Amino acid sequence: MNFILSQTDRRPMYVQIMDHIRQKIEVGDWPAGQQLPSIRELAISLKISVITVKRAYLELEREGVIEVQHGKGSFVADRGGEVPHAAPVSPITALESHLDEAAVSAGRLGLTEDTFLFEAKRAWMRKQEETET
Amino acid sequence: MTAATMQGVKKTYKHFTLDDISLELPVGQIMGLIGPNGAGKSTTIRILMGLVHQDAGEVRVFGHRMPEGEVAAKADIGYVSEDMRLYGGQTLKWHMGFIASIFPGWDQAYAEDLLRRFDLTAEQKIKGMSHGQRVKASLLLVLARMPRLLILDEPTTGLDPVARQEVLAALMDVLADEDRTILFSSHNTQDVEQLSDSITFIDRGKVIASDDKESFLDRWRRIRLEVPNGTRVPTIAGQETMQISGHISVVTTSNFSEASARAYEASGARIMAVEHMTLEEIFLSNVSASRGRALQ
Amino acid sequence: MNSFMIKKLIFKDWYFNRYIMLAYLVGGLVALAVMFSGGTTAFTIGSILLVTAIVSLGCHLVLGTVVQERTNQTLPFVMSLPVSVQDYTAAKLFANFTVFLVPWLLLSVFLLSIMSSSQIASGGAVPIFTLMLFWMVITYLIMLGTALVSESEGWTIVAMAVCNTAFTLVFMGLNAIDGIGGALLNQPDVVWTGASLSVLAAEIALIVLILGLTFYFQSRKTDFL
Repeated sequence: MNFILSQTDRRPMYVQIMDHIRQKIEVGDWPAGQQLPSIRELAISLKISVITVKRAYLELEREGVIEVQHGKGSFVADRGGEVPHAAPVSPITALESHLDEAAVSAGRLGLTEDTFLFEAKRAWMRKQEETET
Repeated sequence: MTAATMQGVKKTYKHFTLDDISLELPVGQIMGLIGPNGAGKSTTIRILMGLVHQDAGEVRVFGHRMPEGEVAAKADIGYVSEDMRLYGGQTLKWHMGFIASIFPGWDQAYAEDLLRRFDLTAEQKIKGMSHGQRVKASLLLVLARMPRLLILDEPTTGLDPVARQEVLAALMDVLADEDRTILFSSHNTQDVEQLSDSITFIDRGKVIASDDKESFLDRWRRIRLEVPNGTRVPTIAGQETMQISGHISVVTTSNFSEASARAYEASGARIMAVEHMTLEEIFLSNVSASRGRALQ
Repeated sequence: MNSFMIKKLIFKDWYFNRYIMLAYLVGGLVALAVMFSGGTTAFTIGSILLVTAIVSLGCHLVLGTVVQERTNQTLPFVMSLPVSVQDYTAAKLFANFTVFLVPWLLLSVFLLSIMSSSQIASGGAVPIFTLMLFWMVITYLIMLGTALVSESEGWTIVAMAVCNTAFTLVFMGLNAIDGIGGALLNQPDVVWTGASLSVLAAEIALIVLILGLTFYFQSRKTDFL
């Protein structure tokens, strides 16, 4: 797995790892049932501490994205109920559509660009606080 | 199972005292030692190696008491420090032969692999090498021995970015074996933040914090508050520093929780942002907080 | 005491010093050749050269291995190996002592046997020369011990200066003793008197004492780096 921690990304390392794993799954590189590299293997190849990778795996397990089978390893969960993507969608493109909607709403409400950006930041903060609890 | 423990270690020098140092290094982990210059990191490491005898307190490495058991302990420890030099007039090959003849764990195939990865020439004399090459040579000599414990004092200091990545990759390879442990001290907080399983923070001869890295990073936040006229921001438990600029206060806390966030809002201040801090920012905040308190 | 590691360190020091040993041996042999090339002037010049060779060997060794190990910062490298302070000291003393002794012994044997031989017939001077040769060993051990214990280039050089000044004084002192020097020097036969034998015994005792003291002070160190 080729993945470099962004030095400018302020998110915790384990979150970045989780996102990258989620992306791999979303774009179809890792299908349901695929075995993930062991925590130690991944830590060594990414040059990231074992404890951080362990946390990422734990959080992903909690979210149901992966399954940890003791003694066997970690596997991509089979989310049978979810509609699989017809074609791989880049995360940026997905976000763009949401932002376009928000920008249009802001314009209709008569808000300025500064306010729009400020509120976007506050929304992000709220989301952060939610994932932390 | 612990690789090393220090309990209540004290060492007094004329102008500096190492006071009540306690830490525990579990097997299979990598611990990063951070702190400002002169904080006592190197002294702590030397005491662990038995090179400096503590005035009080107990030190054990693989069960051996230090410094009494230093000979037995050092058979299992690979040590590289910033102030260590190899014999300039000899070649790297001579050093490799010397070390290989002492330690039965020497893996010649791995040594040659490291020569390639570190881009070193065994036939070259040490004095003809650049600083970076010498550091990599010293690391090669301890890595190829496959010691159970690696103690490294500033292993990446002075290395160019390429050499640094080569060294970090080689260090992480050590951890493929769950029975091997690493303790390294570094100014490079990014390396420590990325690689360490646990962090020990030393300042002015004292251990300020010793924790697993994720919990440590998780406890700290920087909170930006908008403070309306007439509101005073209270000091909430865990607060380390506060910087006020007009209506904006920036607070760092080492004990963040939902409750502390509510406490700030209850005072009338509005939380504009809650940010995670990098290890470097925590380092700076910690040191300025302790200096601030000391000065008061 | 870790004999495996001590041997390793001794061989290392021997290996590092192999050329020095050879060079000074050759220098000493040249001095001997000058000494016995004929006439008193040649003898005097030759003896000065010989003394210089032996003393310089001592200084070179002390500054070269012991002090350099500290200034070149290779001491942490050695101490990171499975050795104790006692192992290190024992190896350093033994290695440096033997590296000095080999040329010293060869040169001494050559010198004294030539002097005792019938052609030269300076046998009377053999006791005092022997005592001075042993004094050079004592000087060397004082310098070596100072270097190891003080860890200071400054103090080592002071020790060197003091010892070398003392050399002439010791010779004059011994020469003044009836049973050792003076008229005895002109005799062709080698005669060991009670006086010369007791001085020799004292010198040997002093050698053992200096070695013991060096070892003792080294072991008491709590900050080896």
